[in-house]
Order: sequence, then C-alpha cells, then structure tokens
Amino acid sequence: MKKKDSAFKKGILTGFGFPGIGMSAAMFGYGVFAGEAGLDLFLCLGALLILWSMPGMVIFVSLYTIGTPILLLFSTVLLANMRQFFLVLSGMTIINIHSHKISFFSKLLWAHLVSPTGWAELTKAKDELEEKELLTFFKGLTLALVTITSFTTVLGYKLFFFLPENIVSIPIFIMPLYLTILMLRAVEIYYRVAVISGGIICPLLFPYIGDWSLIIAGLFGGTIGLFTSYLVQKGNSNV
Amino acid sequence: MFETSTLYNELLPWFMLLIASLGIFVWRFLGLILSSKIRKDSFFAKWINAIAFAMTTGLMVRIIFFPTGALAETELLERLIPFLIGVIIFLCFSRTPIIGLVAGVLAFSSTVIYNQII
Repeated sequence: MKKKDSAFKKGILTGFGFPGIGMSAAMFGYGVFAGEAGLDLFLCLGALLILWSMPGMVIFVSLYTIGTPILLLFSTVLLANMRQFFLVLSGMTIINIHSHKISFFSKLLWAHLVSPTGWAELTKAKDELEEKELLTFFKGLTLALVTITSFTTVLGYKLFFFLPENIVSIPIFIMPLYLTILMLRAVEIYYRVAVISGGIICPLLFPYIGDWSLIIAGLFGGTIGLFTSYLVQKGNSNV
Repeated sequence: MFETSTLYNELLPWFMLLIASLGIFVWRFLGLILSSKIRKDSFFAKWINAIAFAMTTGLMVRIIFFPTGALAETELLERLIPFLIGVIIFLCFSRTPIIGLVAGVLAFSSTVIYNQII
C-alpha cells in the first residue's frame, strides 16, 4: 500500500515539476489561441480534456472557427494524430496495462491520457519503478498534468490580450527542450539512434510533406535505430 | 422553431468536438487493443518504442524549426541557439539534466527579454 502511495506521489510530483510546467506552458499558448479565435471557454476546456492532443486541439479550433465540413474535420484530425497509435501502443506495453485487473473503460481512459510528455515520463520511470507500480505512477502523473494544464489553459484564455507574445514564448520553449533532453537520456543504442534520426528527418521533410513528416521520421528513425543495434550486436558477436 | 435553432447552435460545437475526438480515439483504441498482443521484451515492442522515441524527438525539433503561436514570433536563431546550448550542456553534464534545461531556457529568455527591451 505504502509502495503504491509512493508511486502515486512520485507521479504527482513529476507532473507538477518540469514536465507539467512545459506542457502547461504549451496549453497556455493553446488557451491564448482559443481565446483569439473566439471559442467559448467551456468548449476550449472541453477540447483540452476530450481531445488531449495538441495537434488535435489546434486543428479543431482552426477548422471549427472557419466552419469546416464534418468529414474534413474528422479526416484532418485522424491523419494528424496517427502518432497517438504508436504512443499508446508503446505506453500501454510499458505499463503492461492488460496485467492489471481493471475494466476495459479504465484501460481506455488511461490510453486516452497518454501524451508525449506522459509517455516520455513513463519511459524514464520504467527504470526507476517496478512494472506493477507504473500504472499508479501514471495515474498520479496524469492527474497532475490534467490539473495544471486545465488551470493554465483558462489562464491563457483569460490573459491572452494582456501579455506580449514574445514573453509568452518563454514557457512554451521549455517543452521541446525538456522532452528532447529526456529522449537523449535513453541508454540503449537503438533508442539513441532513433532519437537522432527522428530529430533530423522530421524538420527536413516537414516543408514538403507537412504532418506526414512525423510518421515517416518515426518509422525511419525507429527502423534505423533497430538496424544499428542489430549491426552492433552482430559486430560484437563476430569479435 | 426559435428554440430548436438555439439548441442546434449550442450543440453544434460539441458535436463537432465529438467528431474531432473520434479521429483521435480510433488510434488510441487500436493502440490499446494491439498492446495486448505484444510482449514487452519482444523485437516488435522495441521497434514500436524506437518509433515513438523518434517521433517525439521529431515533433520537438519541428517545434523549434517550424513553431506556431507565440513561439513563431521569435526568430529561428533565437530558438535554435538556446536549444543547442541546452542540448550540448546536457550532453556534457548528463548526470544532472536539469543544468542543460536551465541553461537553454535562460539563454532563450534572456534573448527574448533583451529583444523586448530593445
């Protein structure tokens, strides 16, 4: 029981630390964006909690405000969020969600709450906690992330016309740097190669193929990473 | 008639939100279902994890090169140099990653504040 409490507490503390600051800064930006677009505050918060994906939220606000047809809205969100598949698949495998005796709807809820930040923290926590504690850790983490991001979304929505955009950019800068550093902390060679390849391929392809660059960078980066690992292992076994 | 159209106008945005959420739900649902078929230490699980690592880093680097919103108000070099400072300092002091993060954020914020004052 005590162990479970400490995993939950660790999740809460992690969520309110740098990961939460980085993510909530991005949500502050989203609040500003939704406020500028003239979205209702409840709808803005609803989109945060129901979509729980920055690209999805930004697409929803952009397309909804110009009155896009439903099919176009659905297909744009669908195509821009394919990465969720890999994050959820990876996150749920790390947690080993199916080993926990919880309902399917609970599993779906935790799958829904996987974000790049949450997933990155999970990959870090898997080396520090036992496997059975990871779900408890993730519950604490997401509780903190949902709380802090809801608060900053409302804050961004209410304050958007008071703050100069340059100053707003400072907290937003935290998230990309923090997550890149977190990714570079990976010990295994194939993850490191995947991180470097993904970081190079995605911005190179983005001007030409837009959001597809992310999927291609992921598939190529991940495959190059595993191939490198295979070559290294083969080289070692030959020696 | 008036009441019906008011109700329609009030519910329409939520309906649109529901449609958008379905576009994400499909992937999350598939991810959850397929995760039951994969062994944690299998080759496929490693590949999926490597893809997620590459995608997350790709997304973060893309934000630095092609940002939207408030971050887009700054120049590329104003974002890129502090980002690289943070990463390089992290690589030098990898046991305490916070040093790299603080250095990068300090470098970026001082540039932004300097530009704001000037």
